[in-house]
Amino acid sequence: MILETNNLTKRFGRLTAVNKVNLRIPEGSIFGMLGPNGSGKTTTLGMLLGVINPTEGEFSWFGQGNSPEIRKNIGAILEQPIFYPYMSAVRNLDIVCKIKQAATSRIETVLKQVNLFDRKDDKFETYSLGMKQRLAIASALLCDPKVLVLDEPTNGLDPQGIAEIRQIISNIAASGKSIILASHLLDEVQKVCTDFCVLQNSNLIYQGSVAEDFAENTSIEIASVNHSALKTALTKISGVKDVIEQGQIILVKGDDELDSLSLNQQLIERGVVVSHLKTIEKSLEQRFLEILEGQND
Amino acid sequence: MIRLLQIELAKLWPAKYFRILVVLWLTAFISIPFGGVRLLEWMTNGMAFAENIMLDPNAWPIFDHGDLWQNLSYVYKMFTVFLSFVVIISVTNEFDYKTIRQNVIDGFSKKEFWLSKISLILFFSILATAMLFVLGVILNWTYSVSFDATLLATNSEFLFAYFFQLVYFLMFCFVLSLWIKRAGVVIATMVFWVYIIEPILSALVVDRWLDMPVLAQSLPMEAGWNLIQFPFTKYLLMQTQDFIGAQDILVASGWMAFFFLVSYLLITKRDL
Repeated sequence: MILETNNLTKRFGRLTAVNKVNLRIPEGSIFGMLGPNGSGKTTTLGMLLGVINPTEGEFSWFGQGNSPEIRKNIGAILEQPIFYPYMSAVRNLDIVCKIKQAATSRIETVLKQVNLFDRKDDKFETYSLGMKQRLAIASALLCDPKVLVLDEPTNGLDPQGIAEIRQIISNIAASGKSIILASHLLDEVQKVCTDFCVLQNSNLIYQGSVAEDFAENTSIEIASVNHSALKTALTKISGVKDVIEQGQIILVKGDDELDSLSLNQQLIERGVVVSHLKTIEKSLEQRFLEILEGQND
Repeated sequence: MIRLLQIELAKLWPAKYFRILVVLWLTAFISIPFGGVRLLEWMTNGMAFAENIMLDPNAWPIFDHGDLWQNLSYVYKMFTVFLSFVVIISVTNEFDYKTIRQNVIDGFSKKEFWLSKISLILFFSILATAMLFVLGVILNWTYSVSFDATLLATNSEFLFAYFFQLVYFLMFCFVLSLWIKRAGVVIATMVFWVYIIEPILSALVVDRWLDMPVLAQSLPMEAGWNLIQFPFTKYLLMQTQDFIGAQDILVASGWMAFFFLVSYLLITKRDL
């Protein structure tokens, strides 16, 4: 286990920001934390990183408790890149090394990794937001950490900046490190993460594996010039569980056996020619909204 | 503690305000005694017209053993303000930039952060005291009637009082900075407290209405200031306290312990 929390709770006066959160994050997973703004993601991470004192509950990194020593082996960004503005990247990273008691030899490596080596002697305050965000990732990688905690790493970036950060995160994930990623960018979480959880109104309302969650259903969009024949044919095809009409297009939901190829074959056998056929990948966004809606009911 | 101090100095050194304040402080530090010598000359010349007044400031033994340490520590304690700005800005910047938060995320415990600032306060206090000692020796050697290394130790407890007073005042600023977090407001509060609130409290409330002069002397700034009493009246043949009062030390130590405790609690108990 990388991380285990037990009834982790934070109250600010009468407001409960995080309510009895129990997380289990297994070794090697890329863990996405989803939730609307104000759902308690940052407060949760703040507690896990020692800056916010929990009101109740406890947590343990690597099964070893929560001492500051353990944080030295975690690379983390919370909310925004934070550095001394009047210092260069190198000097800033040097201070991080001193705090983490890590060797300064990796400064060059990580700066190259995030493509900032050319600007290493420029002051932090002269950096663009994208560069600041990249420096923050470099800083998080400085101690060659077992786990990386990234809170909204693409927040406020332009499309190019987002693409750069996304590439860096994919590379880190590919290198076998564990990542805890709090993000609004659901497709990003879907692409990168192995597991995810959803927070809403201070509560942990869902925790699951990305693979399992997206294997359960197949959806296919289909249309034909002969609409009524298509509808009739669909009722007879095995594996079809649900047929939803969306104007001229029909959305077919089926079990694992059903795919666009077998559907098309069976329709041709029944003399129906399709004009539109598209497999819908279930997106995390839909799933996320489903989960949130399930809560609201 | 040495590691924490190194981190602290690595944070400060590249900052422009820090270098400016240190240069100002050093300049003031070195030039004051020479100004003092000039002042005495000026006073002597100014009094030349009144020949019947038996006063010769030039002959005052301000740098002689016995008087040296109290005179120097009294004058120099007024220049603590440069260092107090270093402490205030260095602490409030950490809140401004939110770097206190990142420091903890990176692996500092909140206690280590507290200790790193304490190490900065101790470092400057020790440095200033050592500089005052060296300066005292040089001045004594240059200007006193006779230089005697063994007599130099006379009343050297004022060096300790100087050190104590530095730590005391810087800790006071540290507490204000942690509490208020904004440099400008901290400095305004400090000035307001030292020059307005405490004098009013001391003169009106405690002295007059409650009639408890002891309590007035126990207010935090008063207690710290009282450690080193104004020495120069002795040259006008007035009664002057040339020792450190036991009661003053006791009261100041109480406040000092309070500053340490409150600053510790302000860092560790709050969310960053």
